[in-house]
Amino acid sequence: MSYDVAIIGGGLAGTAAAYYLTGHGLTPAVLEAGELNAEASGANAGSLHFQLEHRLIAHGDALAQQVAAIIPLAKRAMALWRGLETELRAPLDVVMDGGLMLAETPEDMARLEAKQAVEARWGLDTQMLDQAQVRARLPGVADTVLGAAHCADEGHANPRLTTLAYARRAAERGARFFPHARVTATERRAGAWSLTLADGRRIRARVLVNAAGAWARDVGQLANVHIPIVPVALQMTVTEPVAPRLGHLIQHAGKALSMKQVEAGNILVGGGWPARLGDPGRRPRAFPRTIARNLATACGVWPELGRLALLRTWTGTVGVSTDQLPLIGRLSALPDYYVVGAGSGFTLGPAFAATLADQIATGRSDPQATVYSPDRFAHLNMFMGL
Amino acid sequence: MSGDDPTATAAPVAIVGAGPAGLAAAALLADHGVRPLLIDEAPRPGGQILRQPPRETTVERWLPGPLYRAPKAALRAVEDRADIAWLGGATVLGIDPPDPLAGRDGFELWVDTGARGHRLIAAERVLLATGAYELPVAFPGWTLPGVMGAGALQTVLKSQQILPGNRLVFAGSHPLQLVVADQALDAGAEVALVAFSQSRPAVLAAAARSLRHLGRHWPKVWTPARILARLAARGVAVRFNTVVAEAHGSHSVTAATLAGLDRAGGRAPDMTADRRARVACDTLALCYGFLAGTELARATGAAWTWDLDAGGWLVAHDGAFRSSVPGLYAAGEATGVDGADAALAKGRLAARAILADRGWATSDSTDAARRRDARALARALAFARDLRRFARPPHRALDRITGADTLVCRCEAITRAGVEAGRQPPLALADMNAVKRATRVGMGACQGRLCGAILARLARPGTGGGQPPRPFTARMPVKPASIAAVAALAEHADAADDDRGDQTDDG
Ligand SMILES: Cc1cc2nc3c(=O)[nH]c(=O)nc-3n(C[C@H](O)[C@H](O)[C@H](O)COP(=O)(O)OP(=O)(O)OC[C@H]3O[C@@H](n4cnc5c(N)ncnc54)[C@H](O)[C@@H]3O)c2cc1C
Ligand SMILES: Cc1cc2nc3c(=O)[nH]c(=O)nc-3n(C[C@H](O)[C@H](O)[C@H](O)COP(=O)(O)OP(=O)(O)OC[C@H]3O[C@@H](n4cnc5c(N)ncnc54)[C@H](O)[C@@H]3O)c2cc1C
Repeated sequence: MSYDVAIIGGGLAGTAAAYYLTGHGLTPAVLEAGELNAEASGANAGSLHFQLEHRLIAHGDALAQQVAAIIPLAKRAMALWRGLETELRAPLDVVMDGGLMLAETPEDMARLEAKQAVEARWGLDTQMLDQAQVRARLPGVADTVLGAAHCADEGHANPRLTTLAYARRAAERGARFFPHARVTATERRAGAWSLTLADGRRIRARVLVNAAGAWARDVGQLANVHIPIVPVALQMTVTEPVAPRLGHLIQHAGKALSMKQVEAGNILVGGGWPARLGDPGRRPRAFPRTIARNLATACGVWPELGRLALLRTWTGTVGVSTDQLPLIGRLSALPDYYVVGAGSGFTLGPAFAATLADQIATGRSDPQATVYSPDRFAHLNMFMGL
Repeated sequence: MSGDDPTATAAPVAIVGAGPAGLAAAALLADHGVRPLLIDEAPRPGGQILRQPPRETTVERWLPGPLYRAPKAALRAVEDRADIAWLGGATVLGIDPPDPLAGRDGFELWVDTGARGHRLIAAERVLLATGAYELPVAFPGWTLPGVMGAGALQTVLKSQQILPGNRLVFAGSHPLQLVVADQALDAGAEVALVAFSQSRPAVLAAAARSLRHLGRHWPKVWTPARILARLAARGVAVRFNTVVAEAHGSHSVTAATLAGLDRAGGRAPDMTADRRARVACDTLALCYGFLAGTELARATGAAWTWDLDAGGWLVAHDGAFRSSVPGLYAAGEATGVDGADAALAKGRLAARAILADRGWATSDSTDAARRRDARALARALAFARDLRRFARPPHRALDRITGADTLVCRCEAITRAGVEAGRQPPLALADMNAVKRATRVGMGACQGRLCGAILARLARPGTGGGQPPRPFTARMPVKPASIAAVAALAEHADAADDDRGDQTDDG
């Protein structure tokens, strides 16, 4: 079978890319090793966070300046999310009622102020709130919270629904989906890509997209290229469902924390707490200490949480690039080989995918996109390729 | 047993579950000089079959009869021993396997002791004897108050001597419902009907076959026959070839509809439209079998096998009750629903494996003693196999009673149709976890303990081939827990880590 584009990976990146490619009149095939949306895209916290994250700003101003290059993508993502339920004709539980990044120490406050200056330079609208303003927005907030940065566009959406909605609409527009189709070989044959699946089936396509998430490096190696994305295991916790009481996405300026109340009433608590990477093919394992510390951090800023019951935990594996920025675009070491992934791929996933589809369809990338170009790692592939 | 030790933080062997399997293992370990820590979420030991009443109530003639003799003896054998540590009213929420990188060679158990808070307990080895729970069946009205498992009804009766209703209907395929019906009659209830899915000839044939077990298992052979006679004498209707079809009522159950089964041409029994009967009742007790409780084992990474009629997902073991995780053992119903006698023998064998692996074995733990336990297990399993064949639930009919708008997941209110929506292309979700993500099925308070098995049964026709259904991924905490208590554990963990740090610095 022959397609315009073969996409390896049925997460949000690959599935949304398929959708946007059909919008350009192309016919993609999505090859997914397991079920659609079964990995990071279906297991994430669903935060739509646009402020520069704690882990990005924690390492000083230089890095913050560099990662601020993400802001144009964030703004594209913001616009896409606002229209996504209409566009995909599906409820996705999109709520964009604002996010708070809390500060508990003068250092936290200073960091937020520096962050806000960078964001303002790149055109991202955030405001500093004082203690009283935070209390008004977040009843029950702990006295230790001195202030916060507020971004009105932040919020959350439902990761269980988003990728599947993209898949349904992409399929209506001609994309083909192959679940349970692990790609085991990618080769160039007669001027096109030839993919071999674990069950022996073959797929041909002019263009290949590596959207394999935390496994992008392994998939890259099938074509003898290095893709510097490493797997990171994260853990999430969730409370019993309760009446609405948390109206914002909550993050922390100095600690790993994210917290939000979802449509069904449960409060999701996470923020980048580690799990243990399991054996290949197994989910990462959560461990009691981290669960306890994650919840202690959350109770520290919002003690009410302590009165609820912890219902369950889960884990997922996300791909992180070595410089924390996403990889989107063509890899010049190989003909017609594209990569999409890494970074806050739920929030930014729609923008990643739309940007990639534009590049594939037009053969051009806008000048700003060079910051995300996989070719910033071209030195790794000097001796690689076909 | 020594009383609750609120400071217990370490044990050579932790045993989770104080039913027959856990009790037998604890006694054997203590006999060999190993002081195990026995943990159970119930306030008192005994497990499901005994479900002891609280200490402050005395129950006259508590569980009389030969059925309970062996497990009661096992209980008595440990109750007064000081060389077994006991932690009751404590739920093990999760187990962290050994982590040499973090400087920890043993297991760490995350334990919720209720009002006494959470704690982490270190154990060199862990035996899971977590038992079984009742197989749920989904049909219109099954979530109404008053509809319950026969075992749950019996638990209330055994431990509190309370009858949940006055007019009872039983429906099932497992003879345990006879025992419970009889106990309910004794407690003063009216039993309107006991419905078996088996045909009368099948019951007679099984009864005849069971006679060969009479020598070794006489109480279990004799008891059902005796109860059937008693029910007849008291005018209780017993109907065969009949399955539950619907529970009626607006706030609680007021009637049940039972349906006849058709087994034309020797096919698997299916439901028929005729022979439906509506029976008034305020309690509908169901007894279609048991599911092994393996969440804790699976969450710890233990491999599983699948056998629906032996309890669904079972902990896989090497024949000597070692799980696939080194140092983690499993015994009792968690390895197959084979009854209390088998659970006792499995517990002893698992304890012997622990002693052998640890080099703790002494003269008594010789091959001869091991062979004695193995023979006891073989005898128990021979009976269990026959019982299982007889008690096999009518799967096709149970599938049929789950209508398109019947709730499959009661916690999240998801219907069968809702679950099946994602199975069509382009999504073509086959895996239970993918269906869970797409629909929220199994995401509620019970964490899929109930609907997991229902889903697995519904999915069987669609999953293609004989592939065992992959269960919902089990994770700690296996039961809901107070967040304040979990958060408080962080300090405990920090202190423990500091201690370990100091030790390394010194050494
Ligand atoms: C616990 C957790 C919480 C998170 N929280 C947030 C958040 O709140 N906000 C946010 O923006 N981001 C969050 N993220 C990050 C976000 O989920 C990911 O960045 C994003 O989902 C990545 O999407 P993806 O499509 O690239 O990867 P995935 O969804 O992982 O998809 C990759 C797919 O490729 C498939 N694949 C791999 N190898 C092959 C092969 N050889 N053949 C075929 N298929 C293959 C895999 O099976 C997988 O399905 C979180 C991540 C985790 C794990
Ligand atoms: C409701 C019910 C009633 C039954 N009644 C009878 C009967 O009358 N006659 C008969 O012959 N058989 C009966 N059985 C079957 C009988 O229970 C078994 O044959 C036998 O008792 C199994 O022994 P076990 O040691 O494997 O498990 P069990 O006796 O089930 O013991 C398991 C124990 O583990 C504990 N446990 C489980 N998970 C955790 C955790 N995470 N943390 C702490 N503790 C935990 C439970 O509280 C329980 O006490 C009944 C079964 C059930 C489910």
